[in-house]
Amino acid sequence: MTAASAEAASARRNWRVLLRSPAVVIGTLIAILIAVAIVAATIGAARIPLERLAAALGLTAGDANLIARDRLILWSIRLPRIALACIVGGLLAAAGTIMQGLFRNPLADPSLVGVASGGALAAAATIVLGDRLLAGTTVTLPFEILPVAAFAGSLASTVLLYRIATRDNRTSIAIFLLGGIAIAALAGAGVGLLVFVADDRQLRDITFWMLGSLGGATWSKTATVAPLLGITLIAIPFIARGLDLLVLGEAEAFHMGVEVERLKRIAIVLISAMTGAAVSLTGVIGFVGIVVPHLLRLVIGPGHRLLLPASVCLGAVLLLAADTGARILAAPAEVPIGILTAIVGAPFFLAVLLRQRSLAGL
Amino acid sequence: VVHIPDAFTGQGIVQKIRLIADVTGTAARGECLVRAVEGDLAALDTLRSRIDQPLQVTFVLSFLSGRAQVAGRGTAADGIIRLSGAVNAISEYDGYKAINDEAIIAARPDFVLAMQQGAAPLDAGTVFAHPGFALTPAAARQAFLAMNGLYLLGFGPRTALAARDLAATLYPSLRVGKLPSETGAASVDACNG
Repeated sequence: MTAASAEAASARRNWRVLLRSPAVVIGTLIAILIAVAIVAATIGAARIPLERLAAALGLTAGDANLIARDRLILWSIRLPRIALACIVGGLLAAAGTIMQGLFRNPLADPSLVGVASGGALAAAATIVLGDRLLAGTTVTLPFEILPVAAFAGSLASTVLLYRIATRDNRTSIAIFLLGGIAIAALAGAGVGLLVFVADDRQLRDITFWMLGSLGGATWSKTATVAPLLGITLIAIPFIARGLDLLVLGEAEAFHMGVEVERLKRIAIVLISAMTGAAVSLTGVIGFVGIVVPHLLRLVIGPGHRLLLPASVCLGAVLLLAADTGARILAAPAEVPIGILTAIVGAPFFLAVLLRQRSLAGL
Repeated sequence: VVHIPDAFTGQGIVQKIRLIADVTGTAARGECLVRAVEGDLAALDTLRSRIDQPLQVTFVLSFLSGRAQVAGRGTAADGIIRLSGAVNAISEYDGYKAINDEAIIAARPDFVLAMQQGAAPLDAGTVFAHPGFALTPAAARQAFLAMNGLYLLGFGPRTALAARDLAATLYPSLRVGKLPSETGAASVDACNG
């Protein structure tokens, strides 16, 4: 071995050690998130350049009229939307990470496994049947009914799945996964049926909702999902070791002291609450839950203690970047964000997979 | 098979009536109807010429948990807004699309128009609670109107009346009156006799 190659090998080793350090990984991701958030805060239909952003946030002085206007747009529209994008992105990525750990299956994703589909079916039913059943009556539906229905639908499909997969207090992960695919297909058929009976406007609403959007974000919406992210972050130390050991198999994890059934229950409750909340506020946004944990595993390794918080950060970065694109690409119209996460995420994901093929042993 | 072209203008309605009357062999009744509609449209033209400051109007098709879909160019809503002597505040895109919340502020609509439809009909309170619409001139005056969808966007013999109704709400100071077909001079119903 030549001196040069030995040096290169040691440099690679150092690099690897650096990439396993929580402070470095989380610090880098948060720095990227802040940079993306600053970009997102400065662009939009109403232009607020960087120097005026500082003034609007009260950091520097400036023209009082401009500051008042900028502040209004920032605080009532742009900042709640940035916050919602970060939280929903973090929730979706964390849900994907937990799900893949729980199922020991890299394909698991909340949108694939019935949880999101239940929410989508409930939302489509609200859009179409709400109009139909109440036609001719004076009853009107409040506008909050849609997110509530979507959340209830997500929870209902998870409860159903859990009951299907659980016998004698033992939950079969294989049945949960396969049952989830069946329920997703069933919910898809239900949505198809609703599309079939929907009128033009309802059809437009369903299609739009299915592709997801962060439009109409408010602080109150953000406040309803923020606690979930907090709960997830608190839960990480308690489930990380269990998810790590679960890779060895359920029996092996049990023998190493993991309360497997309790872990499954906690994980399933977390996944359904996170996905349900995200789906109810923003519609179905695919791909974040599957791409984020994969990318991170390739770079920082599979340990959940670091992978989970890193997923939350990268999920936030990805969704915030995609949402900023959604806001400006077709301005003043908005591109549905589900299209962007897939268009940008899928080829990038494929490229990483192909390059890292041997490394990841896939 | 005859395709009836949809042009969202007064001339478009007249052509539609003529074409349908031709292919259904009721040309005489068609001409009668055309005369009635043309009389209304001409009265509407006069009405529009009295408007010196046209308002910016935004048509909201749907409002799905706070996400507005708004009419752009080439839509029936765009057509009726023009016929009523106003301007569509959104002219950057075609069709009905989901609009950015900030773009609503930038478009500065003076008035928000919607359809009375469905189990969750829009009202002024809901629209102007939206962070984008809340910062428009329309919100300051709570300027909102929901009209029957078919009447408003149908582009048929009653469209001139719908445009008149809309104009009467948009420009109360104009004291908009009845159209010829309503005063009996050239009634639409008379053609069916």
